[in-house]
Amino acid sequence: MSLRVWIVGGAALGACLVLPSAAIAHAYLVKTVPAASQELNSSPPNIQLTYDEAVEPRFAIISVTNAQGQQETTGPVHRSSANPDTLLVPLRPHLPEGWYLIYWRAISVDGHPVQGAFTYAVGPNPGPAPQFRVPSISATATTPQLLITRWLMFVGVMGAIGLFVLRVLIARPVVRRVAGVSLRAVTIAFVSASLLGLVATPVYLDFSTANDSLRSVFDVGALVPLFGATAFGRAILKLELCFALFCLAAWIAIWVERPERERRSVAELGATLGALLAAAAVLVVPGAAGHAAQTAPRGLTLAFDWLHMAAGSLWLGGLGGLLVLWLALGQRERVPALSVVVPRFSAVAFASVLVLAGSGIGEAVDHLPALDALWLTGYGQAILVKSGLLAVALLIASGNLLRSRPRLLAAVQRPELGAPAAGLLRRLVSGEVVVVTGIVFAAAVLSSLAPPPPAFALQNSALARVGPGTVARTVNRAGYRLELLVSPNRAAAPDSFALRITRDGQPVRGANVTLTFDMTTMQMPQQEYQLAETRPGVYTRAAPALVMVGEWGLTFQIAPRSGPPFSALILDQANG
Amino acid sequence: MRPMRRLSTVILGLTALVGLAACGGSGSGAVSVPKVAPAGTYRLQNFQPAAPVVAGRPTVLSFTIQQPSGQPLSAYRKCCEPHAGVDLIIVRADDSHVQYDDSDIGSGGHVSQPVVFPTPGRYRVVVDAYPAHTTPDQPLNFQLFTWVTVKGAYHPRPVPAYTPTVTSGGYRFQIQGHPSLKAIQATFLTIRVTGPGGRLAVFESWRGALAHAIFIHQGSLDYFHTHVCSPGASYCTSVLGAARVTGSSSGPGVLHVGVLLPEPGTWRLFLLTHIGGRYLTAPFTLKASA
Repeated sequence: MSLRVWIVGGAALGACLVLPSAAIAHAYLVKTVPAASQELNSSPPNIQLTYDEAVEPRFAIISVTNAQGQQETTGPVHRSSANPDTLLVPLRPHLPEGWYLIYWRAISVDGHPVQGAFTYAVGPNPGPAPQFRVPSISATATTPQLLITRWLMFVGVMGAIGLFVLRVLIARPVVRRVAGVSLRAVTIAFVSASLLGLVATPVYLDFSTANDSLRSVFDVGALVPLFGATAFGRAILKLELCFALFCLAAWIAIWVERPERERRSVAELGATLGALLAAAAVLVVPGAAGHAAQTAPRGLTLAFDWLHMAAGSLWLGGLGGLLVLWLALGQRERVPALSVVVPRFSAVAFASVLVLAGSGIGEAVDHLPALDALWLTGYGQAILVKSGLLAVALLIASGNLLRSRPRLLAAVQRPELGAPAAGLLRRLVSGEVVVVTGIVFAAAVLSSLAPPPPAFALQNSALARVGPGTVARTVNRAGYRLELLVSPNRAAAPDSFALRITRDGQPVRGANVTLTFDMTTMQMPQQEYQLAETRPGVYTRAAPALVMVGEWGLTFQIAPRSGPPFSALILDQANG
Repeated sequence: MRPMRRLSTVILGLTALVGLAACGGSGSGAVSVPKVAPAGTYRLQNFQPAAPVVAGRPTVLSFTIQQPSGQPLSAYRKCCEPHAGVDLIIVRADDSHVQYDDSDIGSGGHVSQPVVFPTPGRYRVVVDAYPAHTTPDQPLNFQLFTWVTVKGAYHPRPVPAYTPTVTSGGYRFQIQGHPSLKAIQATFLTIRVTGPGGRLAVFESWRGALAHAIFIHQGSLDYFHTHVCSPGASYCTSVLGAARVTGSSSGPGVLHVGVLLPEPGTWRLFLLTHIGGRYLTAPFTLKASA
């Protein structure tokens, strides 16, 4: 490899690494009017929820119910004209005294639903706070419908790109070298795959939007205007547009192609190059719409994702094309034709598999904050399943590489080897196609799951696990005795956090104590609070910090007046 | 062509998969707001009397308090007056009459108290409960509300205008200065109490305090209660939110009454004291501006 290639490659890698690396977290409620647990002297005209980003009101739910569970809102959720990050819902005027539950659900810019709840009271005599039963709407993006349509979208898009590459770059010489051979079947397969991709992509978007907005998938009139309401939806629309342009360019390239000529014309070269560039652009979009775009360093993860998609497309489409070619060829042309195509495809497939494995490992390392996330989280388990299927596919592929390919090459000299080699090739490629489409399904599952957040790694250094429910737990750290009290330890509610620090039975006074909150099960912004010493050695703070149901890492940074500072991490499960 | 037929079958199969995936969506066209189940609440159970009662005759009020778990509340604070057990504050709908009664708590949390309703009309009963606080998520104190109807023609009495001086049981209760009250602003009223011959009243501790100030809003009958505490009465406090409005007495005949009226309008202040072995109620009318 020349020095120039190394420099260009290095510069490209460097550019990837320095691309913006901001990680997008889920939407986060930053302010509410009324405030959580506030007791008002009169009923407010509306409820106002302010998020850290502009969430889409058409996807949002703000439910306000009394202790009997009766709904008190009088209209749809809408955006505040004063602040685009604020959603409002009008209330019945003059609500009677009592306690009210606000349950909210919103869709983040990245397409993931978030939800929470809090209470407020209308007084002056609201009575005792009821024990509300907070509803919970399933927030999964892994329903069977979504997974199937996502899988079909991937199979269509990746298969079409792979079939096109096989058609115009790998299998092209066979037309010239073997008389009577046509690539029409591969072209039909490409057209079919591209139609599948073109249909499955909007169907997937319809399903996904219906899932997020809690509407029927058949409510197309209401769903279509929502397609572009989130960044995720816009990305899928871009995918459809890019893929449609690629299909157009590819159809033109196939139309102008003359495979019987050895050298391509300028028109052929231009059309093929245009289609390949369009294919490259298409493969950027899934990463930009998914978790790759939300994981730092963003440039590197997007590059890994693109390589992964490209290698997978070449492998999937190439295998499919090979199978179609085998089926379409007559008995007389089959062995000579395969003798031309198989060795060329083997080289591409081998390189693709290497890239696929390498970029997959790179992505896994990038997305997994700790090794045990591989078997402790759904995301890690999906990686394991995908890797297992990849190993099976590689085993089958090695059969082709070591048995079918040499025999097909030898069949030029010894024709009696041709038919058995072709038969073996068909069986192995059929099996490989099945396994590779299984890998694509695993990829559809994987890309539907949120990777564990960086805070997941905190689990290995936790001193204790507490919750759900009121917490009273004592741990020892650095010669200090720490007694943690959390009450009521409920998500989306104002909780009281208290830490009693003693050493040799004496309260530790005058320490500087801060408490940081990291959600270990979902990407959420970190919060940090300073605790105040309310009694000798007792440091407290009330805060609505546990904003979501799930596991939270509570890290106490303690700096005693004398002695070195230390930290203590406790994992807390907060329920609704 | 056989291979092409197979290919067509595969394409048809994939199309059918898309169609199948489309099945099973819900039929609703609107965003479905989730149904919220009724909350677990503290509530009065088996409250008696359920029917109208007769004026001037003893009537036994009885009930149990049901906890959010559905179990009756049976463990109440027994110490620490004025915050213990269950108190009953009974207010006539026109704000003309208030009475403050203790109550007996029987086994299983059954609360009962004989009461005499003086005149016909509707009475709001405030049940002021102080649980034993056996679990951290249990409230220290809460109020529940209900109504009792007394048979006969109801003739509401107009709320008298503000006057700084009222007389009760031969004692003269006089608000000092010209109080200017505003809603949600804590303040203190100084009330001078003199007996026959102008002698300064000597307050006796009653239910853990030298005086109980009960505020009732005209119309809504919203309720607010503060105490005038004697020195050393460690359990005697009056805290509303972040505001501490615990009253005090600087000597015989002088009460500093904490006031924190949560909403503007006309309020009645019923100042309950125990002087010379007698319970005295001094009713004032107060105005709170917004």
